[in-house]
Amino acid sequence: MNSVEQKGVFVIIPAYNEETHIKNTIAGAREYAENITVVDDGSTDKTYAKAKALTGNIKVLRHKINLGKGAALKTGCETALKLGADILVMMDADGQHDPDDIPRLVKELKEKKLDIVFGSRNLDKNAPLYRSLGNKLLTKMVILLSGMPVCDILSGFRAFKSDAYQKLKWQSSDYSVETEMIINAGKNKLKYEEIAIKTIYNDNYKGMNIASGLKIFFNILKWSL
Amino acid sequence: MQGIQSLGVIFGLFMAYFIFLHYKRKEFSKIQFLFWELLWLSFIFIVIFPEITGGIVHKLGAYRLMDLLTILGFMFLTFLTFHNYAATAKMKRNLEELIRKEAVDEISKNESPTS
Repeated sequence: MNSVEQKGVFVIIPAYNEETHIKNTIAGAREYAENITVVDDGSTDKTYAKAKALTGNIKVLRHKINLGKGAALKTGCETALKLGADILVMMDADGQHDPDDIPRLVKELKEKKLDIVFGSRNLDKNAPLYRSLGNKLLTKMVILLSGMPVCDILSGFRAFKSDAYQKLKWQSSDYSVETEMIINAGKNKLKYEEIAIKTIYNDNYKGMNIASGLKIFFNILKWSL
Repeated sequence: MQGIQSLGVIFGLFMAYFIFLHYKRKEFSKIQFLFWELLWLSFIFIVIFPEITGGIVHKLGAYRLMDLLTILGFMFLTFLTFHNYAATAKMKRNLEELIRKEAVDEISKNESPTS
């Protein structure tokens, strides 16, 4: 993306104890977006200091205590909107998302005049059986509830227009945020598309586990009431 | 006094002392202290003199005071669980708002918006 295309694009990076990857993640995102908003969600390591040390249009916010990914994303999005964001791109801080996909997400959003674009990973590849089954079950439930046949409901790499934020706004403060966004998008009949993204697997996987999967399952039931 | 009565009295006394400790640490107001102390002292009194509740126990359809206390205990625990759930959810929401606001305010204070 050139500088004109980058204008108004804000990349939101929620980070919790990501001192190993935060520098590279921000550097990668900087190539495709003028504005980066990092929300350090109460990290106990050097994530905040490392992000703060980088120069450029990087806003680094800090939650004094760990609130969860959903809360960090909310803080990031609200700050970006205050700073005049037109397009918000959500990206994980652990380096699992390829920054090269940022322009693809933005392009799809702009060219097809969509409200939101979901990045979709190839989930079944090398995933343990329990995770693969859990994903399938949660996905079926979300499709049923939202009416949106999204393949990867848990992917944290997505882009949306600033106008859509109020309709997508979530209550979840944890990993349920991605699922709740899809359900809100479905309820508000937002125009969406899903594109395949590359996933870089790191050794220290800190994302979803059986407990958070069960929590999302119960949250989906709660949202359906 | 039967074994179960002694146990009830010891438990009641322990709870009364526990409440007194909270009051001493200024974690309870005088009204809260009096309410809880009165509740546990009444409990001890009923445990020692169960016959005074005979009329109420039978009117409520329970066979023994023990059955009635068990049912009331479960009802109270259910209420407390719900109350704690609601209070924790509210506290979590307020805390989240506060922390998030503080983070946004800090950046607004330190950095000027981009053009």
